[in-house]
Amino acid sequence: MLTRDILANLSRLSGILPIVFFLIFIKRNNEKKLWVIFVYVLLSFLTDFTMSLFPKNSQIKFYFFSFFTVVEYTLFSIFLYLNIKPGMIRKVILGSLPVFYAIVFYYMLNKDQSNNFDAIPASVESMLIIVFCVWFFFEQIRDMQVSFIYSSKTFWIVVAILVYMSATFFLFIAAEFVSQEERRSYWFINSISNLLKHILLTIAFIIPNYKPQPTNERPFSDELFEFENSAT
Amino acid sequence: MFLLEINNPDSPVSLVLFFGTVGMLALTIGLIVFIIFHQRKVIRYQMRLQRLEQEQQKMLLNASIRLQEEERQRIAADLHDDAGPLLATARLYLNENLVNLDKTTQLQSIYNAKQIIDDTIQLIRNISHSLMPPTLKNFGLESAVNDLFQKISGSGSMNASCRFHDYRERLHPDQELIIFRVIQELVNNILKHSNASFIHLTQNLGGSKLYIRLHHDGRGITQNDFEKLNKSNVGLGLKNIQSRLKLLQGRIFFEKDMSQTYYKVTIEIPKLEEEPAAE
Repeated sequence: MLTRDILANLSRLSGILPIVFFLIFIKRNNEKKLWVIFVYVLLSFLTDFTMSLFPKNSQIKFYFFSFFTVVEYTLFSIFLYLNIKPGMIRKVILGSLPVFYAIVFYYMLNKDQSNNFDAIPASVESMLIIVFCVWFFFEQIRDMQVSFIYSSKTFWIVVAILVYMSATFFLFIAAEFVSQEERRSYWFINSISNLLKHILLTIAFIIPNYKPQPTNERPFSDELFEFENSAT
Repeated sequence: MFLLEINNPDSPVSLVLFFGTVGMLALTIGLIVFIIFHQRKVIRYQMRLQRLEQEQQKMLLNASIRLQEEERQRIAADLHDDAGPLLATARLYLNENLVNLDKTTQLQSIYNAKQIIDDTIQLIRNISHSLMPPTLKNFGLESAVNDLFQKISGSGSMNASCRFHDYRERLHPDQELIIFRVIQELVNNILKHSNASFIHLTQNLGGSKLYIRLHHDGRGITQNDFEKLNKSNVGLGLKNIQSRLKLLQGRIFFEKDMSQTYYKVTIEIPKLEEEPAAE
């Protein structure tokens, strides 16, 4: 029990790391998309602490979870929207927002709130964000840049989001079928993934800024190789 | 400790949760590792291409420098071996005039000196023509190529013919000179190595591109041979063709005819629209 509490507190406190490092390296992090993540980290930190103030079985927790799920999904969607190239998937991201809000609203009104956790909206959120993250990586593979991918802040942020969402995906689904007491016993998964997420976001805020060099501006041309292709 | 708790056999949820979470994490880490390694592989490939390109550029530059040096040596040899002795002989005849006061001998030596100076003028003209054919400068690529082919046919060693289907507008003089040099180099190669009995050149326009095709019935090379020679240290003339065409952003393609009887060389050159034609 003690270890679990230490882990939960550590996870909560680790939220301060990305906030501090973002502010220390504010010059290199002064980009719209990074501000989106900063707002998320700040809200997440505040929500975690506010939640810890409420009693264990308080009904308000459900509304807090729901509110935070909406904020989290919106901010992650905005971040991914800003990083994914214009196309179909961008429209899907935008279109998914009202649908997601409707799902959350529906569960707020119709669901039994005794469980104090919005399991279904959180699972839907995880699923959608995982799909968008995978799409982001697919785009990265399709349109390779000259510099290494891990020198980009965006890469570390997407990795943080993806690791967090994948690790908690089954936990959120399972939360629908287990009692509050049982859920608490599994909650260390959320603490670990939260801790990992904060560490990865801190790395993203620390590493120097990186501007990718598009392939068409490479210092060499493929003319000779085009010629080679035409010969076959 | 967590593992023991989560593997509670009484709860089926705990097993699903355990394997589900581990599976999802494994998939995520696998995806990230795959992307990183794939990107590293792509970057290594790009760098290898870049290195190859640089080597190729270096080879082309060396070839063009060597060719320039050879050209200079040829001109120097022409001037030294032909024009030099001729002018020295003319000087001897004129010197004799100063020594010998006999009128008839003087006239004879002046006449001889004049003959020699005429020969020297002709020689220098030939050298200058080989540097910049006057027909090309004054009448354009079509006439210069016609001239070249007539000379080859006139020698009787080979039947050479050419046909320009659509060359109403002349290209820029610099472009014409480069194309002419490429044709000269190709024809020289055919004369030297192919043992062909005929060469035929055809010119055509396709959109904004000019196409020139040479046919011959001798021994030739295909695109693979051309690329191999281009990457090796031999084939100076071919490298020179490649570097000249690169200047025009043109391309060259060597192939064997469908009938397997003839060899074809096709040159593709984009037309420079903004450049005015030669005056």
